[in-house]
Amino acid sequence: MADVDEDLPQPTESNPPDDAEVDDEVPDFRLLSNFLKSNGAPGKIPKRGEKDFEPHPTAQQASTLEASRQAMHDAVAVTRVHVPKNHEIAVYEPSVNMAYVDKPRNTHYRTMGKAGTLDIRWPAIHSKDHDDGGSEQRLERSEEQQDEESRPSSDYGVPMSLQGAYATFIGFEASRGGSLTLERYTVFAPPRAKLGRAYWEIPPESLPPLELPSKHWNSGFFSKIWRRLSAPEPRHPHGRLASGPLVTPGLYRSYNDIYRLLQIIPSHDPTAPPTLSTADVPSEDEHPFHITYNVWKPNTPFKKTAPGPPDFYICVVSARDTFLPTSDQLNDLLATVPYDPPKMDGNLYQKLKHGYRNVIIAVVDQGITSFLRVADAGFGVEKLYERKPRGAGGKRGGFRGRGRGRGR
Amino acid sequence: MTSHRELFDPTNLKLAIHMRSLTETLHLHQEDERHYPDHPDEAKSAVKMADTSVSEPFPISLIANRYLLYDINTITYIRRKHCICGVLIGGLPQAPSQNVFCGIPLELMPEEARLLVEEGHAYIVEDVEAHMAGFLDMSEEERNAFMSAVESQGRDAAKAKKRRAGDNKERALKEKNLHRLVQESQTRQASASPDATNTADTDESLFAYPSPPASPPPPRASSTAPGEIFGITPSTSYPPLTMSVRSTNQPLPAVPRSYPLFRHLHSKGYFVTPGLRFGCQYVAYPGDPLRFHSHFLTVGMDWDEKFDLRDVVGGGRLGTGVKKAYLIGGKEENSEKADEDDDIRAFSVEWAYM
Repeated sequence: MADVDEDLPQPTESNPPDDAEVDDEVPDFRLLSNFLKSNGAPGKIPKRGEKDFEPHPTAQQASTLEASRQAMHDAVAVTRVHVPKNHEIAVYEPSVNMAYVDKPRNTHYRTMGKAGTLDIRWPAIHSKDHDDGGSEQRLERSEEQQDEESRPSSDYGVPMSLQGAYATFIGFEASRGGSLTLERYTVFAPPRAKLGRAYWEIPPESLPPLELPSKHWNSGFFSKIWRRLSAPEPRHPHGRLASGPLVTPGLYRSYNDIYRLLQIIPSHDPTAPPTLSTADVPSEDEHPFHITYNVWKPNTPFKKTAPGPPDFYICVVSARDTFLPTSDQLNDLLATVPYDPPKMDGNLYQKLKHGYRNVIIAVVDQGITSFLRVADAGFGVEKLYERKPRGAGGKRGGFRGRGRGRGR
Repeated sequence: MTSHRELFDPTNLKLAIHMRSLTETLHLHQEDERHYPDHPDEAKSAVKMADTSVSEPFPISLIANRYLLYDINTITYIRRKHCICGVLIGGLPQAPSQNVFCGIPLELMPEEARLLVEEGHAYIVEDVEAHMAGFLDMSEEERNAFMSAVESQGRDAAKAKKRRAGDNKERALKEKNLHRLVQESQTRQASASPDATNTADTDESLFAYPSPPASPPPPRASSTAPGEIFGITPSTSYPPLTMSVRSTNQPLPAVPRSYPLFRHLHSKGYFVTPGLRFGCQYVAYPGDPLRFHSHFLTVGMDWDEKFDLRDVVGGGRLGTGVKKAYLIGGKEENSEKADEDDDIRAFSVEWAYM
């Protein structure tokens, strides 16, 4: 891996590297207007802009910076408004720390998060005055009024600000034992907004699932049997290992038989059913690594009632509160996702990369998210000696950077 | 710093460690304010800058152990004045389907929040308490006052939108060189208006409102205003909450042991942002990250802390690969310097080719 960057052309003074795209999470807001002019055409990603390497006391640099700052200020200062035609009002209910909508408009929820707004109101009547019946009374009242064309807006409480929404739905949630944290929301919101991905949260109680449907293991099981039939296991491996020789005298018709005898180091079998390293279900604090979101790609037909298997499993952790996962934690995390083997006829390296189970870990460092894909790679499964040699000629794919002896 | 890259020879890699004191090598200018008067487009921004001034100390919202800012003026202000960027984590209402440009709220690192509090620029507000108390126990009068304020804001928003739509139409027509159409519509309208108001209305909806001489915008706006009130979701809760609620008993934000280095870099004029993306604690920028690439991948440590040499190699190589240097620093123990900030020593590591 270390060799990869040396194979890249090295930057020189005359040819500065084009690393703006890897560099920065801070885009130039002046380019936002270009993006807006394009009406946010789907698939079009706004540009981030070019930057300087050194500050120098020129008026030009300073004025560019000022223009960027002003653009950022103007862009971020835009107030959230609700056009009367699509004005949807929800009322916050403190007893459950949620908001409800009296008259949902169907189309709104299909596009929620992508387009469409929600005007959340504080309750007009303090629930203290109506201890238990508070919310019900209000619901009844709203039902009575449903026939009226326009409900006077004074009937609702004051609008909940963005600040109020974070304070209640994330801040207050913690004290109520809810599971929404700022990290989870930070991971949830941006891709959702960008791609309209459908999310389906797993309730924490179901984790980790101790028994998974057996169909996941079928392929592994049969492949094992198949391998057993086609490649006889060496007899008395223990005696052989204790007293040697590893390759017992006999008649061998292929090198593969000999290699198989030489294989004495036990290795992880990713095709086998997973076992959890801890017997009981640990608490959130001790075990921060579990699936937070199941994610479906945006372009697949998605029904809430029959969502089908998710495309991704995302585990959200906070960078500052969580250490690197231990081997046990990773094992348990991977045990909770279904068996997803690579294509067996694929390229060796693709198979190793794909793994047999995979999870995306979203690490949130103070608002900046890094996504890491962790896969249970089957190194022990890929027998190098079983590979079929490729046709003569041509470069073998994926061999770049192997070993130390780079000719140059 | 970069010239020796041209002499690159992979057989002769050496790790060069440049030791230097930051104070000597870094000459940074916090010249944000100083430069404005020189600029041609100054007139415009000077006007706008006036309303971004913020009275200190300002509140920082604390929710679920995170420090957030919701007021755009404060966000712009601390960026200009205190070299603190934070991270915008919200969406932009005008561009909802993208995630390159983000909006309010702004998340501050605990280090940033602490620095602002320590220096007396800000104070911490427990937001949940403030909201539950302020909104659930709101009196009828307060509610009505705030509602009418929101309503007038909504009316303004509706007007502004209409005006913008008009401007856009006009501009689009001009761009397509269709002045003629606009003028025609004006003359048509002028001739039609004596007969019936109906035709004038349809003209207006087809084309922009006429250019200045025909009819000034205000009367038109007021004539359409009554039905149109947009709902408003404000960014902050001030008003109706008042900023006078000072909870002085809030403890200082808890910070990691890298805080002294963070503070040091900040005091030298660096903009410091979270650095996990580059495998470090902070990324240090020589100026506003809006304009500049970062220079250092930073890790703060205790003075006597032991660490793997591998970290230095890894950090150095990773940093050099993205044209940055890896920087390790910490607070020197038992130093005799009087000023606390001078106790910090930092070492920058670069993968050199010799």
